[in-house]
Amino acid sequence: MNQTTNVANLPPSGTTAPLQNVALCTRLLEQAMNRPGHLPGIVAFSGYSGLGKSISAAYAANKHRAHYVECKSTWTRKFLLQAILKEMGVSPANTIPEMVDQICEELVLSSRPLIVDEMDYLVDKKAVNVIMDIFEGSNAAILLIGEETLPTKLRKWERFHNRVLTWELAQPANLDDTKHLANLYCKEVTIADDLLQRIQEASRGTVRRICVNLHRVQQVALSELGQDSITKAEWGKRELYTGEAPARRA
Amino acid sequence: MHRKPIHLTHTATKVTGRDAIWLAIRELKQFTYADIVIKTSENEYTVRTYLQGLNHAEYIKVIGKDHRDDNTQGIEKPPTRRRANLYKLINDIGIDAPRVRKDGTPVTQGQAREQMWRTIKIIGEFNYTELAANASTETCLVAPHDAKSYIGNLHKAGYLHITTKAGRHTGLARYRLLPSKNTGPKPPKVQRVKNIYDPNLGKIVWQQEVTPE
Repeated sequence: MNQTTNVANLPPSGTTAPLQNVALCTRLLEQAMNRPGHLPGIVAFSGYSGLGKSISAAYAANKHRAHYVECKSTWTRKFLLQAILKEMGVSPANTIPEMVDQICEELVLSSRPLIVDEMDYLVDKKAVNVIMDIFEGSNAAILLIGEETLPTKLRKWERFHNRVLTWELAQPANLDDTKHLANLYCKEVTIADDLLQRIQEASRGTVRRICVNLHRVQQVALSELGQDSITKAEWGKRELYTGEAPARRA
Repeated sequence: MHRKPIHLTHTATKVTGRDAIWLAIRELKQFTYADIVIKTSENEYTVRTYLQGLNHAEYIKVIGKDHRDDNTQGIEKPPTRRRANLYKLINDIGIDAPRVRKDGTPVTQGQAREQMWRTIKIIGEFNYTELAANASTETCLVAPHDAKSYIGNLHKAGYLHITTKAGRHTGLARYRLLPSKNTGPKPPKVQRVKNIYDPNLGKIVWQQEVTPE
């Protein structure tokens, strides 16, 4: 069996291009990890939902054994710190300053990076300074992930904003990404390039919608047409999922 | 000698095995083999092989012989050549005990599970092909059948719930980690006896029912 076929993200063979965002996100984290000592080590990756930011983070986290936390809207500063410590396997101290110290120590010693997903919630909760304290105390590489408005929201926190080394935006999926996703998740049916292009356009670059559409196309090819390949002509006027509610019929 | 199944040595509040040895090393900073055995009450062979591995991998090093009793009066002291090695911690990498073999090379077993567990916590909802694809890295590929079996085990232990059942139209079954089951950094283990053990909690979370013959 060809082992490389199941590698989602960055196949070692180099024959298939990795998903753009996976490559971007990993490069961003590595930039923070390998920066010269005098530069700040916080990097931010933001973009619309559904572009595959979290799967990009998963790859980057696995590659560098990063500590990963996903914030919730209800979280307080204390809960954030407890969540990070839990993710490190350290039993949390009682007070916020002690917990910050515990986190810093672990980050310094392990030299593993920290990834904070759904950072938007923290901005709203004003827990931004806690992240800054962690950075100041550890000088660790920290990757923040959030929605497309994250950079604007953070502008309010000028001291924090200054410490961000690079801002990167997640990109909508292009045709190569669509092909790559088809190779991964639509193995039983070969989809012609013209139909893949339609799928990419209809999905407007959202990885999640592309996957839904690939699944639909595969179903139609297998059960309605009974064949293991399909072109745009064969797909015909069938609807693709665009994420919009259907228009009113006349 | 057989290694004890891990649940016999671990409790949630007390760390044991290599984790305990590493903890003792980090506390003592300078130590002899005997110090660690006394402090941890671990098996002597476990301590000796782990110290050898750590020494080869340069996490600790020998800084000389143990002369710490030189100032004590009244006891007969052994000559230097018969004294124990005194080790020093030179590379503290945090709470995670380094995973090394006796010769100092890194242990790679379990990496796929670690990557899957981390990925499950990050990506939310998934089927087994998606998990295998998203958990793979260049250094450690996750095989789809491995993902399938791990998902099956975690589901059995009540860690995952099915969000979409497998079917002709729905495709492969989709799963999600229950929020309360995000227990920590270490992947739950499927033991050789087919129990499922969660090292973060230090307990068995699923046990095969014993059927009377």
